[in-house]
Amino acid sequence: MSVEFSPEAQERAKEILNRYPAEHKKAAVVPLLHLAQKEWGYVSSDAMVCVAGLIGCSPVKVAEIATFYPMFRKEPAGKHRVIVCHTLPCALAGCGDIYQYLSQKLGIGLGETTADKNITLEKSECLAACDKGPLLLVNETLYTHLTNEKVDEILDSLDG
Amino acid sequence: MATITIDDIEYTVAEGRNLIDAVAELGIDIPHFCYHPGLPADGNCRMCLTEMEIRPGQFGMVTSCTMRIKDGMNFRFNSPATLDNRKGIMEFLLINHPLDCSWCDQAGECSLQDNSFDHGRSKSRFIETKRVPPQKELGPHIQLFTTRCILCQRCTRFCDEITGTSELGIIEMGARSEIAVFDGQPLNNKMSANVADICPVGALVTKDFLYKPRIWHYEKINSVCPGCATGCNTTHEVMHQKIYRTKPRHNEEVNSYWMCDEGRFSYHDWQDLDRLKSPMKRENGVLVATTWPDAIQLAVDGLSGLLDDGGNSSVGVVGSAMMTNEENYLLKQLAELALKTSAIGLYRKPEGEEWTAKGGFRIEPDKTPNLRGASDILGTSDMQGILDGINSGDIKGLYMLGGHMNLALSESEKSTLSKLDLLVVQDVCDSDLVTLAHIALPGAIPFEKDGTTTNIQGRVQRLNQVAPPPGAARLDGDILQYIGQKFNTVLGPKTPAEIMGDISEKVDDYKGLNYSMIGESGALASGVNPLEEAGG
Amino acid sequence: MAEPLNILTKEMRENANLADINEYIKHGGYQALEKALKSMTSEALIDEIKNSGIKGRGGAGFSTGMKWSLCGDRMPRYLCTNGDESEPGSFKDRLLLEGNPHRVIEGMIITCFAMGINLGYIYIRGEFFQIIEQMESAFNQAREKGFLGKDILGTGFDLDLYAHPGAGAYICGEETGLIESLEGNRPYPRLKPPFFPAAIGLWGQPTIVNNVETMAQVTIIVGMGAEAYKQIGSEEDTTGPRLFGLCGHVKNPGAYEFDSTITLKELIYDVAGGIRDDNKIKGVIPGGISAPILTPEEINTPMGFGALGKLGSMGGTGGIIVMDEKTSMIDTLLNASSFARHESCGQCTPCREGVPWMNDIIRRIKHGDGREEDIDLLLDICKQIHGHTVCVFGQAPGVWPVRTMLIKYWPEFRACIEQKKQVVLPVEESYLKPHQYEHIPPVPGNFRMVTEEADAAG
Repeated sequence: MSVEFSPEAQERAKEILNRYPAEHKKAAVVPLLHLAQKEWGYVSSDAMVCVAGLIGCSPVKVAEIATFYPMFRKEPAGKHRVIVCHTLPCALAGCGDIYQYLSQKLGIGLGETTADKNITLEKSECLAACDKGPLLLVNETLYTHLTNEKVDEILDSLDG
Repeated sequence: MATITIDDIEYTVAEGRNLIDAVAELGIDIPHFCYHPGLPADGNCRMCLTEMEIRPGQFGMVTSCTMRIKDGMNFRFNSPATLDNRKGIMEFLLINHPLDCSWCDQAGECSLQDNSFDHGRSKSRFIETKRVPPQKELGPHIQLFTTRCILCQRCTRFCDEITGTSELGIIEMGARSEIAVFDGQPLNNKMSANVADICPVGALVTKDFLYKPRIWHYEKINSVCPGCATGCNTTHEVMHQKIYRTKPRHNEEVNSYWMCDEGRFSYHDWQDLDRLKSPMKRENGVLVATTWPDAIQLAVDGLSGLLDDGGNSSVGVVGSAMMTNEENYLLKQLAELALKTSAIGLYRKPEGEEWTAKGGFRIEPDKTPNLRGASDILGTSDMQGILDGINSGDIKGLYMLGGHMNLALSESEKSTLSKLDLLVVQDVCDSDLVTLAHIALPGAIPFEKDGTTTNIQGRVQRLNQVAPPPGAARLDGDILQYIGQKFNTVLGPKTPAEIMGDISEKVDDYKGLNYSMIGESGALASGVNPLEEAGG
Repeated sequence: MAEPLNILTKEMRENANLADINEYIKHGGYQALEKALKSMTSEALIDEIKNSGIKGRGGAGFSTGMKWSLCGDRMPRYLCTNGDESEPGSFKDRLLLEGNPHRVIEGMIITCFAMGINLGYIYIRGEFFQIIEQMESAFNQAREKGFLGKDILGTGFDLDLYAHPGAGAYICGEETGLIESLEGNRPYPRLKPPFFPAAIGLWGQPTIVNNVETMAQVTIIVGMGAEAYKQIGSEEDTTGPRLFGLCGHVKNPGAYEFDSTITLKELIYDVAGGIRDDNKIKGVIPGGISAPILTPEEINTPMGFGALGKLGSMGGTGGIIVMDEKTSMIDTLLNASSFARHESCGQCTPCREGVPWMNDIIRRIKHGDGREEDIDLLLDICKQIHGHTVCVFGQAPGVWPVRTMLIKYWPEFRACIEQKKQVVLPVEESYLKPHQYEHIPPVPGNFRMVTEEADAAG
């Protein structure tokens, strides 16, 4: 079973490939994997084969990249990805309490997804907004200065 | 050449080589894991770090595998910094390594074991939990014991640079990294088993060698692969005259450090071959076993009879690219001295698949080890003349050498050969030749021979006997000498080494060759390749 | 105390819409570019950067001018701007990329003009989704204005710049890790020598890798001239304006623009409002988590790279993480060690095996299972890793946080081991005085001991 990008994604893929010299297409692997994740919610083996075809290398070389970087999900997960930064500055700002609150409220642990498949709870390393911690990265949006109340608001705003 | 200093002593070494190789020639060993001379250097294991004077009076650590020798370099091989690092790396490699030595196939040829003696701790300081990634089957020949892997990346570099097939990758990150293949794309290139050779530990193993006896039980016998005209140099690991494993032997001119999977595992098919174990004669259309004296006498009588009736041109000989130079030489002598015929041919096995790896390793389409040698010695490169002679009725008797594992004659060859009044063959199993023969004499397979073969480059290389021929089978050279005796002719000296002496006098391209010159890595026959001249 | 500066952040204070190129131009944007392309040669530009004394703002503090002048001759050359800000405590590059992308672009174009580069990339953290989009649109705006593309400003100089995303790995901030990542390989840093990017970089060609802030600083240097730039800060130590990011237990965390003569103490108390709840200070990491920690005795130091180096720490990215008396040092150490464990790429033996090992031991100590010999074991492992890795990750953040926290906060760690549980000591009892470091076995590397005399001199 193989997968194909949607027409819009194919356009974007072409535009991405054009940024690099023709003999160095492999450079596009990370942006193309981001595109695949946006398209299908995660990076499947089929998606890796698709990307490998676009850059002209063996699929295992794409797997090497997809499994290295924490941002790429290898399994389908919740619709919303809720990520708590837990490195030192955020830890000093109290991210541990925020994480506990989230975990209890959602009823899931690290890397787990709610039963309704809406939210996956993850941790990440420093998100580079250390003066505004604790931080939450929800899908592509960064929330700062978190409190339990803010967490409630954010969760309410998520559809599904 | 360059002068370098090691621990305050000066040495002269080749300039431009990396430090590990340069000092290896001085007999100095720099321990290493990820470095392999057949692969691009990577410098990731950090075992080979050595102190070098990087600025006057200031020493720093450099990777010996990537440091190219320049005149004046100053090293400290035995300083605390150099020695302590090796202890440190050994400790790091062993903290997650499973204590599998008692059942790991690498025991006895394991880089971790070897370096542990010199640089390891006797007691582990690690009381945490070892990581246990699952075992994997990577391909038809290769198993990965992932727990043992030290992530030296020799295997991935091999598949990227040598074969160019890139089946192997490293997935995940950090200490969770693992060697892996992509689902549905196993490690199945034509040279896949070399990764087990180069793996410095027991992580990558061939299924072929899994759980076989320890390597210190084997006698190592050097030889040449009979699978194709590349002539990869090999080493057989032998116990009780049986081959347990074949590995490639380094020869930079021929096969570098590699051999193909088919050649490597072919020893099974050869050892399992249903052999001709006694001389056979045809009675009432059926081949029956007989004795050597009987078979030889029948052959000689038959050939003499044809010579008396029809003259010298009524009998011919056909040599074989599976036979050694010495054996083909004796056949030529039989033709010239005993049969006094000039009808000499060479059987051409139809070509098979050819393959060139990214790094240059080649599998030749000619699936015989000695086409070049046989044609050099016999002075002919095919048997068309013989076939024509048989079809026209001139040639009525033929003495033919076989020795193939799976010789399959073409329909036209079969129909021509069946016209013969007398077909005497030397062969190893029930083949198309034996089916047509009137007399079949059981000969030897390549592993049973001492002698030389000449590969496609014209390199003359030595085979060494692993075991004698089984049952009543005999060495092909001995059979020919026996026939010669019955014709009251001495075809040549007794031993292959002495026969090479004769060859070096009689065959132009082999002038000056002898066994000590040929040694373990072979020697080039000079001159034009007669196969190219004849149109291949 | 040094005066706050308004050079690097000037237009960001006045205009929240600088991503629009027309707004940026209203504030004098792209004038440095005109000056550079129309009135200066490559040699003159490189000299100007050298003369300014600017040290790279990416963490290593290497002389930018020297880096440019060492660039190999082979063509083509490439530019990789390092926007992979992942050093915990560092958030200044995000600030610049979000608030003033065109200044960064302008610096990149000037750099490429000086170095004869026709193709460049800015490598941006994958998590900076909006910043990447904004950068792509900023590049388009620059193309429309003729600042990128063919025959820029009629000088015959061609250049194209593109944004390239990361995907969450700290090691891509290491210059050769960045190049490997950009090439599409696993981001395993390369051996140096021979793979210094200026010699053999992107696709084997000479490559300039510079931090985002360094690129912004290039426009300042060209704009005001090297002589004026040198007057900012300290010519002997570190020149030019710096963006110090204060975070952790200060009342007013944020990014503040000063020159390097300001002291750490002044930044914490006078600029960032002091410690939260007026608590006592327990420790400060002055340059991102990789920088060796400083005890309360050591904070009266100017923020120049040299001054911090003398203390055995480093200026790094200027990300200042402040910890107060309520902080458990074993938690801090465990956090730093876990960070290193998660971000180790796994290429070379000492870091791949040693860093997780140390993390396991530290976790055991936190949970009350520490043994007598564990601190010595940790220091031994540090010694085995330090200087033996392919890249500097093994040292920082691999070894330095562990070694310096263990040594300086020895009393608190010993208490955790002896009492078999997590212990937070009163601040004055939790750390060693500098003269006490002499009794700890020395380890080769960057760590230097502060003598009593230097300490008394303040």
